[in-house]
Amino acid sequence: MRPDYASMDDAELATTAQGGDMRSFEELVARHRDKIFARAYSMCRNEEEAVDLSQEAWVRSWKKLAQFQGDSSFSTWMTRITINLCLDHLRKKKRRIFESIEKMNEESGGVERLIPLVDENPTAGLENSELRSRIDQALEHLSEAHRAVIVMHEFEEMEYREIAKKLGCSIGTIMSRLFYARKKLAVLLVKYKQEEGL
Amino acid sequence: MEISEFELKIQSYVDGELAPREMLELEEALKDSAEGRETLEALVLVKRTLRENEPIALLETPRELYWSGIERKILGLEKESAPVVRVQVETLWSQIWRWTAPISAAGLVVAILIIVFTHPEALRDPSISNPNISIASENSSLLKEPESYQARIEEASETAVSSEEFSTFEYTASGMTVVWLEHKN
Repeated sequence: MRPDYASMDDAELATTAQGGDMRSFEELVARHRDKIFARAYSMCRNEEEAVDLSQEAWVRSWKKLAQFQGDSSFSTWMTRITINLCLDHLRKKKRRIFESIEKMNEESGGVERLIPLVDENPTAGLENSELRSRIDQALEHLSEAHRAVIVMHEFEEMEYREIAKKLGCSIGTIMSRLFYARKKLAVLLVKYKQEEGL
Repeated sequence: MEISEFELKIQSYVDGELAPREMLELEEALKDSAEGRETLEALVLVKRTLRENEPIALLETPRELYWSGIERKILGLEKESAPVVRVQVETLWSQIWRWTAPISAAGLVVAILIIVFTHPEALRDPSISNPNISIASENSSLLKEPESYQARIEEASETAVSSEEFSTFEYTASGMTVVWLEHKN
């Protein structure tokens, strides 16, 4: 008799998938595919690449399924695999994700330094969907190094130490990148708001 | 642009990365710093805005199509893994063979040498080491004339088989025929 996959929770599905049941795995994919795709997209900002990377992440997770012990949720475990894959991808593409801190200083310095971090609330009076759209637009303008840190810290709620380990740099570098990235996002959000007001 | 240690400390405070004692120290320091409080406010706002409004990219690829891409890759991987196992077995066998073949050959040579040095007479006249072997020694012409020897062996073998007085043992290897005739009396 075919199991009722829809009624099983993620942990149960993962356990049966560990035994080689691909239908269980298919159910897990169906449940989390949107989130995994969204995470891949937030890292690489390219839809086609995000589809490929997210599919690759699922294949990788199938191979590593025996390592899933249920210490974290399946969703968190899967997202970490996706992030690792995206970081590998970005490294391979040599997109300057590991730019020197000096380079990033140049990028975030200058005029922006003269603008306060936030001189007005850029979110006031905005609908959630509109705000999301603006944040998305602002994220597009971040360097990959800054965006990776924002995604891991703000969206995945990873600690400094964990991000530093994944990116292979010091905690101090992560703190600096995060500060620059937040500052730049704040500046961009204010700018969008001002442009709309004109 | 340089970020001050104070700014980074404020950020760590916002992110909950400070130890309790450091938090208290920072809170004290912020009381005397309007700029620090502004930074704190701004960081809290940005953090909250991002966490509450993560942009969600929608996957437009149909479910079946998306899954089929994954399934195909998984099945491809599993197919690939099968020959790898065979290759590994072959490699293992070749590794064993690489070591055992020379050892076996060396062992064979040593065995031959031991036999040669411990029983040199066996090579010269088999009848000395084994009195039962008599045909070759009694008929030295057999050794000198292989064809005649073969003929006699066959004859002897046939004779022996048909005779109640003899039993025979015939061993053929490496182009050599050894005949053992045992006298029953």
